[in-house]
Amino acid sequence: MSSKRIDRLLAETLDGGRIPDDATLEERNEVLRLVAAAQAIQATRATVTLEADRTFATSRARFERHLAGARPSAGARRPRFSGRFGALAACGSLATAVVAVLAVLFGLGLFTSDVDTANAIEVGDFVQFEGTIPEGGVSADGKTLDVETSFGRFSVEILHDTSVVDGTDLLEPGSLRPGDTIVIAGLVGERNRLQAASLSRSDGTPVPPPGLRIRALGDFLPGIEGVVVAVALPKDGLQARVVIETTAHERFLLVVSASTVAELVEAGAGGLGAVVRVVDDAGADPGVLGLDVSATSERPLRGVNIAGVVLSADGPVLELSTLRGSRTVVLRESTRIVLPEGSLSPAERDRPGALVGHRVAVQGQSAADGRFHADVLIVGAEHRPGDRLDGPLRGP
Amino acid sequence: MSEPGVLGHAGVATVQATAEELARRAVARDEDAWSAIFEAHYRGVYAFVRSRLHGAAEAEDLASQVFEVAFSRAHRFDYRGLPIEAWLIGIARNLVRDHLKKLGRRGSTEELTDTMGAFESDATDIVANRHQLTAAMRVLTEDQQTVLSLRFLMDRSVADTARVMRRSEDAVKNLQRRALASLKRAMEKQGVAP
Repeated sequence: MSSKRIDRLLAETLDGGRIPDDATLEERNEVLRLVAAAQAIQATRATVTLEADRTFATSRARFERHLAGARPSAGARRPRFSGRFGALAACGSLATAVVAVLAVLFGLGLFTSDVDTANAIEVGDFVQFEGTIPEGGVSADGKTLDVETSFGRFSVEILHDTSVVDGTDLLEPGSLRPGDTIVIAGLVGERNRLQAASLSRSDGTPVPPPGLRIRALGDFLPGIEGVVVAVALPKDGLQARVVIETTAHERFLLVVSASTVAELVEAGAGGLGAVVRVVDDAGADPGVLGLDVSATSERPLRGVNIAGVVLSADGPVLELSTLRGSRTVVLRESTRIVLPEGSLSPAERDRPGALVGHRVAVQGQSAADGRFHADVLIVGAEHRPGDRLDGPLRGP
Repeated sequence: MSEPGVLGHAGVATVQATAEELARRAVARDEDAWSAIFEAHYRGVYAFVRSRLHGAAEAEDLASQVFEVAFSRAHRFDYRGLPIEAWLIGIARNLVRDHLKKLGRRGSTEELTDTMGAFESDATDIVANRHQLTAAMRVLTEDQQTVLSLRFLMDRSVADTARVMRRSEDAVKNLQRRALASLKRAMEKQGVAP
């Protein structure tokens, strides 16, 4: 009973509805067994066809909305990062995974009333967003920038350890000029001041002025998908606030867990420009939602710059063991340590040496001295012997 | 899909020219072309995705995503005799794989309630059987799952399946035999007789 013969007999039986006469008894029995398995699948066909028919109209409407949203027209803007995502990916050293959160602009007193009251950008948040330097926006000493963003104007302070990059190239801070569009990551201070951890020149498309309403999304609503335009990480590292802009230019603000942030990072789309879909986060606290990276995001994008295991900690300086060898990572005052479920509690995190032995994922920039300045560090499970250094944060 | 035995060579050439024209327009993001593609292929894509998932709602969502992804990557579609359906099925495979991986990472269980139960006269048994079948299918390799979905759920001929999977017809026959044998073993392990 050769396999080639069974292949032929089976195919002819399935096509013709009867077993060919030249089949032996043994071959006949074998073909009957295989046909029974095929029939088990075919038995579901009618129901699946019904389902497909039933969902056709809804799905078609969804696809038509998708086509309409992608249609360029005079007054409409494409999602800001749809074309820029690749450029951001090429930046390499850009700290992603944290994007500026939409503020309660009334609380900060500097934003227009066109924006809905939503969550605040709280002092102490680590945020990242994109902005354009207007004319006259660079101070005489080059250490302060006024930056117009779609969330309002921020005064950005360049510190001694602020990384200024263009792609993977380090720049002199003074090289930023009016008209430059930059991605800023840093710590929010009072009155729209921000201490920059990193500044990255982007592709130069001017950032639109404030005006889009942002709606706070407390409960899950299906079908919300868009580009991440902001994430803010509070100091405790347990949750994040995310702003998404849809193709219909609606903006939604939602709260996600640290585990969701970690998943975004691990999926290679942890930050600005990631295309995500809002999902219900089963088991999360009320009001906390989840995000799935949509396949429409450009892939692969490594949102994680370094992944490895912490071998030692000397104050803010960590030595990591990675697949590419040892790396020195510096935690700065602005560095946000994200604590997904199963990693560490905030109290544990603050103990000296708490990170040693844990798997971590770090986003940040390489500094001129070869060390890696961390903007965001995501803590994973404890590393066990035999685990891969580049394995999932939660462990195998 | 074209059927050489029915149309003859001239007919095949006409169908292929039409398909090529549609593909060209799709690459150019012609909305009418994409509407035609959606009309022609949504049900097949839905069936393909559905065979791997327990829930109808998530199948609907993923099936919709296939076309959204395809549209976003329209500029990358290289039509050189590759059927549009093959391209869509490839996207569907990746989406389902990613979806199941995420579910596994979260440790979450899929919703096992079949939301379409109201249509069926004996919903409980049908849903239970489908779940067992879906679970058994997941034991198979991706190629095995694909050939079974194309052949027995989407009712594609061996020739069409070979075009979509970019294999010879003999290879498809061989694959379907091995896939059915694996499926039968998997179902027997579950204590389910197909």
